[in-house]
Amino acid sequence: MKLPLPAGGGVPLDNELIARVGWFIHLRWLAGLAVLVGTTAAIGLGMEAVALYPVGVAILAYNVALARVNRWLSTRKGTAAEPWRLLAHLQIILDWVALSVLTTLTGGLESPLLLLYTLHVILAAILLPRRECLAQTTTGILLIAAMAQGWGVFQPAALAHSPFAVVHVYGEDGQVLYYLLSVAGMLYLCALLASSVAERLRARERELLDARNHEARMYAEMALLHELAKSITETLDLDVVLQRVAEQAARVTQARACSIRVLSESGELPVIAAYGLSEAYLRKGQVDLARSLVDRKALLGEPVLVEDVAAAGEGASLFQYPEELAREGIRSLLCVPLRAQERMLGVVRVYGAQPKAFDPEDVRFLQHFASLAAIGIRNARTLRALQEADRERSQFVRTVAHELRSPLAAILGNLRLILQGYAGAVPEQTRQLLERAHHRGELLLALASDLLALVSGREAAGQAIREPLSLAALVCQAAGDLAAQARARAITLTVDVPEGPADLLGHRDQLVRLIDNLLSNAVKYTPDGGNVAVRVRTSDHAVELVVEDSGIGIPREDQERIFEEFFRSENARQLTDQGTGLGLAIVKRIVDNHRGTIALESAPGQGTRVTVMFPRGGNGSGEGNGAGPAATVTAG
Amino acid sequence: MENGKRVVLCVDDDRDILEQLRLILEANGFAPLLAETAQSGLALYQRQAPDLVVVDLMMEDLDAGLNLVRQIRARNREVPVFLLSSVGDQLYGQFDASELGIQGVFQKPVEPDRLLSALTLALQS
Repeated sequence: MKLPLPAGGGVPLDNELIARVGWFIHLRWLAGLAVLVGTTAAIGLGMEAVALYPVGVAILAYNVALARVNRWLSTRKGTAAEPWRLLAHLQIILDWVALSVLTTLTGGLESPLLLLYTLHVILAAILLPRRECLAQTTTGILLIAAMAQGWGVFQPAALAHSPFAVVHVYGEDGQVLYYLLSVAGMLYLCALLASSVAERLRARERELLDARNHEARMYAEMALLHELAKSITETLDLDVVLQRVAEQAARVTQARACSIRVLSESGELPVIAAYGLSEAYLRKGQVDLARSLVDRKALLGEPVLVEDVAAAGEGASLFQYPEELAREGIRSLLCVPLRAQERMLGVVRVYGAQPKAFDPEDVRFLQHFASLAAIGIRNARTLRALQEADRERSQFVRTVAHELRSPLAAILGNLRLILQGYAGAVPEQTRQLLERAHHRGELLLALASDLLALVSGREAAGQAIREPLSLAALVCQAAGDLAAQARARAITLTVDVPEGPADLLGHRDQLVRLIDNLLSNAVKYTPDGGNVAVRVRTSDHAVELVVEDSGIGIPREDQERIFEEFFRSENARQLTDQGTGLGLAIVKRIVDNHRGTIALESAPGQGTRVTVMFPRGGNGSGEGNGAGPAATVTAG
Repeated sequence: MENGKRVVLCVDDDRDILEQLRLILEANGFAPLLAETAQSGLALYQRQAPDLVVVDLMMEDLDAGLNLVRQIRARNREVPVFLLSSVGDQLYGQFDASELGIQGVFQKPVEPDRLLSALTLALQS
């Protein structure tokens, strides 16, 4: 898994080592100065100590070199802990040597500086793993042994004691060896104790670190899954969903490529989305489940991780197209099931360009990811099925309505001719019956017309057939068509529209239908002698159409349902049987198609006001803005 | 003109509609010519040179009516042409009525008075 870890990461144990190495170098400045100051004091006290000066200077000198190396290592990016560990070893060894020289010069085994070996053992235990600490301790002990002899070299009279001596061991047989063994035993014991404490601390720190890393990884994984879920659920377009899934899966697992195969109804496993695969590879042929063990295994619900596609035996039995895989440069593969609610949809495959490109973390993550993707795919499929069902329903309604309208038109035409005397005189009772048949026939034709308008509106949803239109011009035309009807019923029809060219982008047929439905409704449900007013206003961003009448109004309880298909309010039914209950449903559909809004204010007996707002498109803003009435049609 | 009567060519694939047009036109002193297909309509047009043409917008196929009008217009720019349209026919956006010289569109079922007044007006001008 290659999930990004939080910033400031790195391994705390390594950080600890790096910090300690720096601290050790700082401490050494003091040690070097202490040697120089101590030497001066010793000389002041009359001791023979001049030989110690060069050692102090040497300590400071090699510390300068160590500090430089340390700084150089710090400036290098992405340096592993290894160089610092070597630096730690080097420091300890240099210190052992310096200490041994100092000790040799100040009395060998009898020198008070012998105690400082213990300090170095503790430092080694802090800095290094136990085995390396014991190795350093052994180095120190060997140096002490050499130094024990060294005192003899510097002081040929073996019995002479250094003025610095705090104990007397030289001069007696066996005493030196005995003392040396005691010191060695003590240093080993010290090394074991210190390193076991340090190891325990390190182990605890490692546990903490693991917990922190795990937490960080989980967090990163959650964040990533969230991102993926968002990008997948942003759209319900199946092709887009699949393409995103393929890309994201490849990106997250740092795979060379990804393919998504979805089970078809006939049991095949075609690639329906791919990322990073060549055309040649995709054209290699259908996957036959009987011959593709890797897909078959995954479809049983288990992820399949193939670390090396080319490994002997594996390729031949697992893959249907091992040669094509090799030609594509694919060396490793991970295949996980796509499953939504226990239903197997297909598989997601990610392909690596190197062997062992995927680890168990990838397997786990891709499984989570695939279940998320499966949900996205299932949702998109459900939507597609619903859209298809809706389309089929619309097509059915369209066919029925089309088939109805021709015979209906012929029947009504014949009835009209008979009623108008083209076929001879009509007895009064026959006339009445024929008039009723004609009336019912007209209602049926209106229903066919409304159904066609409704399915056309539905089919037009999402279509981008938009031409610049003037709502005002369409309103004037519709009002003109209704003027005679309004006049016959003494209804005052007022049209108030601004001057100006096209003021929105829309679908002409639909907008004509919308205005016609609203205006004819207003006239139909307004008692004789009433008022109907239609108004168009434009602003920078919207065009507003208001149709107001002094009609029967809509009862409050019916207002919520008024835009439902086939709904008619009770008072409307009582007033007239002319109405299919589709008019306002069509209006609502058309408003939606134009991304508009529709609002209705109504009170029974007082009238209705319908306000439609369309977002403004087309040629610029301001035109016709605030213009006064340019056309007023009044009938009555 | 035939026996002093104005000749009106009616083209519609619905025989009932044609029969209605015949009744209305004959009763009002016109000489109707009836055709059930665009092809036979064009043949009649070429043979009889009618004074006026009424064409159903949608016949055997979607463009049959309009294609017939285009072919007539290619031969004669003057003869008045009317269209018959059924509920649900999408009139807008399919053709430019003024470019094709269409005088008007009658919605089916045909209202005799509207048909007669429009035809009379077109033949007068």
